[in-house]
Amino acid sequence: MIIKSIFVFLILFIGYNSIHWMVPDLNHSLNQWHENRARAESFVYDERDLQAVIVGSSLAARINQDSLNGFFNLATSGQSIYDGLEVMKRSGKIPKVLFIEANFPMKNKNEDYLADVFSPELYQMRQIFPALRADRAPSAMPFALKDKLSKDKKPIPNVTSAENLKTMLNIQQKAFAELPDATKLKLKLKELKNYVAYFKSKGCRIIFFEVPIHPSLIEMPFAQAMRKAMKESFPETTFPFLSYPASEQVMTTSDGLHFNDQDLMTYLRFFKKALPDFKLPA
Amino acid sequence: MLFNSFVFVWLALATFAIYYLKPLRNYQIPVLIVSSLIFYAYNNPWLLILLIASVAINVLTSYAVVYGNPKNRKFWAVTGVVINLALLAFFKYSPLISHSLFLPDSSIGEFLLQIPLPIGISFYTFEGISLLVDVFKEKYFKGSDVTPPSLFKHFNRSLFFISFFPHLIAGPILKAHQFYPQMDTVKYFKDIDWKGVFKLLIMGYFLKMVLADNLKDYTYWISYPYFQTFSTPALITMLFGYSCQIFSDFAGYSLIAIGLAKVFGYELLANFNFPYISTTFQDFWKRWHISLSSFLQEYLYIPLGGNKKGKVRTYLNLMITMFLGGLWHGAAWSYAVWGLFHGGALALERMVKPYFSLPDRFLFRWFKRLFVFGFVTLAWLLFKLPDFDQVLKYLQTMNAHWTMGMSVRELKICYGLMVFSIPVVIYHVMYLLRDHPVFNWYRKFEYVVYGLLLFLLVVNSGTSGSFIYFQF
Repeated sequence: MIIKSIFVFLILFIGYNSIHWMVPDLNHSLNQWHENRARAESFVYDERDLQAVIVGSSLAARINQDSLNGFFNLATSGQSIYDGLEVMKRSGKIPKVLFIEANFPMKNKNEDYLADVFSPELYQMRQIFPALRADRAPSAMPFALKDKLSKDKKPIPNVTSAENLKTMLNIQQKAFAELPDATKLKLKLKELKNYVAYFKSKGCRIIFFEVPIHPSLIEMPFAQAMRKAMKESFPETTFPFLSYPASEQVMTTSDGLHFNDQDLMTYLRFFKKALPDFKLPA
Repeated sequence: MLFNSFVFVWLALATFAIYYLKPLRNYQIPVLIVSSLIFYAYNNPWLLILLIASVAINVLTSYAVVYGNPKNRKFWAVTGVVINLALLAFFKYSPLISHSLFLPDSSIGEFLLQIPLPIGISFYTFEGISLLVDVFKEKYFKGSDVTPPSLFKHFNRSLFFISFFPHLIAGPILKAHQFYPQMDTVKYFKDIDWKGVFKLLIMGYFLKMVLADNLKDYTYWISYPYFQTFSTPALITMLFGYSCQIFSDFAGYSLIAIGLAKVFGYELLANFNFPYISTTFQDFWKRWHISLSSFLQEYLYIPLGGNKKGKVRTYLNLMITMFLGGLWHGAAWSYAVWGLFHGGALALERMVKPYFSLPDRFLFRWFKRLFVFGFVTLAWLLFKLPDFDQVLKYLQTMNAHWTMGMSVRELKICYGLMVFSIPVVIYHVMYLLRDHPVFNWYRKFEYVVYGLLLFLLVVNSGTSGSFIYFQF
């Protein structure tokens, strides 16, 4: 029974991998954690011309890299900038320009995530067997097929009701009214400085950017404290800081923090307009 | 160290390679002890101090029960049990004591909040209690059968009983009278039931890594404040998914533990027996976390009087047992409330049974099954949301969002929930069909099923996460 089961497994495994060898772009992530791993694996395993990389949290994760030439978005939803920075460091792939989201530098990196991506046992095997990658799971294949067959590939719309926005905004306003833990912030910024120094030593240009959030949160104590701490640690004389000016269209957001679809289009227009200032193609 | 980590696989393989070597046959228990201590200390070596101290307390007090002054037997047994419970209370319930009895700024309150929770303490203190009670009562064996005259040998055997890595940090909770007799024989490679081990490990890892680890990514949204933005159908689906997740996580772990123990020649009793097919709450507790419910029955419910002291006392004993059983799960009042819910259900069922029961027919059986499942699922909310006010908010939101349309994102979440919950339903239905002729097809092509499970284990596992019951 054991031998027969292993035989069935081998047939299924080789057969499923064959599909992915023949159709390499048949992939889909069912949720944000799979998406985080899929992005890291794509960054690590796939060859590409790497002009710039974005690292950040879920705020930056929605930025569509396909509309930005030579960009790779390594931002991780539900996780932190340090996850993206660590993936880059361990993979040894250093871009010319690194965009670091400045909104939430306090979140810790996810060691389980990094252990998954860089598992010594699976690292080499994923290069040979694409079925082992996070976005090739059989459960996601109906969506992968739909993506492949659909001519109009749109991301899942991020729409919300006015009631939901109000509910989440109330919660965010309470959270943003509190100042961050100064000791922890100091420690995390020290960690960030180490990463920045490392990437600079590899010839990478660092640009910080603040993702615009709901106008009622922008000047609240938490956001102000973060902005101040970031600019003190990384002075604008040395590190360009891409802020979203007040003159631009305000963000409605889906929950106070994250872009809705309209916000995303607006921000992408602004972001692309700013790229030539950093000698990057729009 | 997690069962689903590569470092554990290497440790298990290395242990297995040494264990059955002919020259080391007389050292099988020390080999497993060393392996178990490495397993436990891997992430935090300081935890070993408490584990060994707990074992030492149980060894000394049980030794005193057997070989000390016969007049003091009860004293030593009670002392050992009290110390076990005191250790558990100190390390596990200090945050609850702090929040409940002290002001937020008080120094005692702050001190209590800092006390770490050693992993597995709920399990190994109960096993220590089992050893003490079994040698005191001598219901299954004479104390000296289990407690050798050599204190060193008794320490070794007890350290093995408590630290044996398959069950150390999340059960099944072993009872001394079930495990000690197994230590008396040498284990041989030729006696390994490979087919049994294979099936247990594959099913266990599938339940844990494919079902539970994927489901956790979708039931994440049950957390506060996210659930407040979901529609009622999505909230109900998430709750159903969580019910399947907690089963898959815990039953999966138990199957892995039983399979691993089997590899080394030890039989652990089943911890889950298809609990979601239960048609009564009494039946549910004979199928869910069997090792805990049987421990509570033998060492708490029966000593309290069980059902031998009249109806009112029986209901009270049920409530006390389930209240403490709930509190065992965590240092939060929500777990105690969860226990009380189940205690209340058991008591009410017992009260009503003589006067009212549904006919034992197919539709009525399914009605009862769904009723019990629905109650159990709703009660799991107290596990997922330990803040009681968040539980109430969840229920309020469920009630208020019936007319809210489901977004594309919600539909995708529900798709994921159903994909990884349906196998749990199939798992239970297959058990119900085990005597049906259709099951003969399953038996004939069982290898195809296990081959498929192994395939999904390799290519469709979720992002890694620790076992839910590790937090208890």
